Amino acid sequence: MTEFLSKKVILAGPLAVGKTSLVQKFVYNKFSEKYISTIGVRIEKKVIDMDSHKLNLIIWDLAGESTQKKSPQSYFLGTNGIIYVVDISRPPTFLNIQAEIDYLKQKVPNAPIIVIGNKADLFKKEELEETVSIIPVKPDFVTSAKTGDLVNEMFEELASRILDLQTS
Amino acid sequence: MKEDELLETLKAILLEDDRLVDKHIRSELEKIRDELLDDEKFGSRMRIHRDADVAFLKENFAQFFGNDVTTAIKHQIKNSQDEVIEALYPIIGKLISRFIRSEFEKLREGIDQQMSEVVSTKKWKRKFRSWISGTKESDLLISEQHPPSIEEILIIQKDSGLLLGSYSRNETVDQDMIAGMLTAIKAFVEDAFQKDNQDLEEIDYSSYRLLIFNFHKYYLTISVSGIIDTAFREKLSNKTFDFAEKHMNKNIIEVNSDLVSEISEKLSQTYND
Repeated sequence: MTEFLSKKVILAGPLAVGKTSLVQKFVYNKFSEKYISTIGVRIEKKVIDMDSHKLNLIIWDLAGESTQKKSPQSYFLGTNGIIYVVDISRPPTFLNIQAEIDYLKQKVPNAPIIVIGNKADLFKKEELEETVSIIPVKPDFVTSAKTGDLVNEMFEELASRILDLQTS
Repeated sequence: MKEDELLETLKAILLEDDRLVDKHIRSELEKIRDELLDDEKFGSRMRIHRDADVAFLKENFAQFFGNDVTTAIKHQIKNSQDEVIEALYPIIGKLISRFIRSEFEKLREGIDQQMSEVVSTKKWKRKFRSWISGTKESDLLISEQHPPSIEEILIIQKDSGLLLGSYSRNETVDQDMIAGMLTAIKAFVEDAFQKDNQDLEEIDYSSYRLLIFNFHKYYLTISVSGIIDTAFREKLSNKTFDFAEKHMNKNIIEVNSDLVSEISEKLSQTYND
């Protein structure tokens, strides 16, 4: 029998890296060129079908911060999975990525973290590999909220890691 | 006859018709010029045409310009939202103020009527309730006018903001998202004031009040419409603590549909009266 589980997922990362756009693409299959900064946090939800589970993902799309230490600490409580997003076209968004991820691991030790390099659509295919290679932590997925490239896949991968952790 | 004279006579014979036409055209042009320069004559002619055009446009305005006018108005409103709101604010304010005045009138009349029931059993019952519950008689009177009613209850895991169960009298927007947003607001307020062991306990919005009962691992929010008096609050508190003791005394490891259904059913049994 399919089990229905609710899980809290957080999207974190610096300002204007495309966190909200990734969520909008995943939940509503929509993309807007217009940039509206997230204030505080936005909550979205999407139910996805995994093998033997239906996962009710409650997605906390946090306001972008230069460092996660500035986000309200209570937002991280009870988190089941984290997506950390950087903008591959803007090096300042990934210069401190290792420290940021270490901080998140320390805050939420039992939650899987997926690293995303977003805005792949700004590069030609042949430029992409070189661009991504300068990021100090290799992204798990290089996505584009604009074209939808690998957006569903990265949420599904996080869901799968959350389930693996639960069953292990 | 000389050759020149002959030529002139021939020209006169040949051009006779043209001359007549020319004369006629000149005379017509004269007439038109006179009419154009004569304000009264020209005006009267123009008025006839103008009146006919205006009448035609009046009759067919919607057909010709309806869409353009709608688009223009929409555009104008979109581009001047602030101005439109500024213009409407005082009008809406007056409407609200009139509505509140009328509601107060009704409330006053109701209270007057109840106060005048000197020998009614209702009055003595109220006095007795006031004495037993420690609630002011005036509070009981006001609450009788707009009795409190539970609209919705959510039980939410404290840390994650995940919904553990719900009870609702009406269809509402997605309760999972409300649970998450409420948790974020609560966390923000509690973080902002950074006082240890202090929780957000109440949120007022419009004609509703959200009462928040905080427990160790979860919290329960009850949305109530109407006027809440001390007696109702106390009754609700007792019921909520009883519910927590009977049905929430468990270690929640994961939030699944069985758990949510079970808690929701218990909520409905407890509060649906």
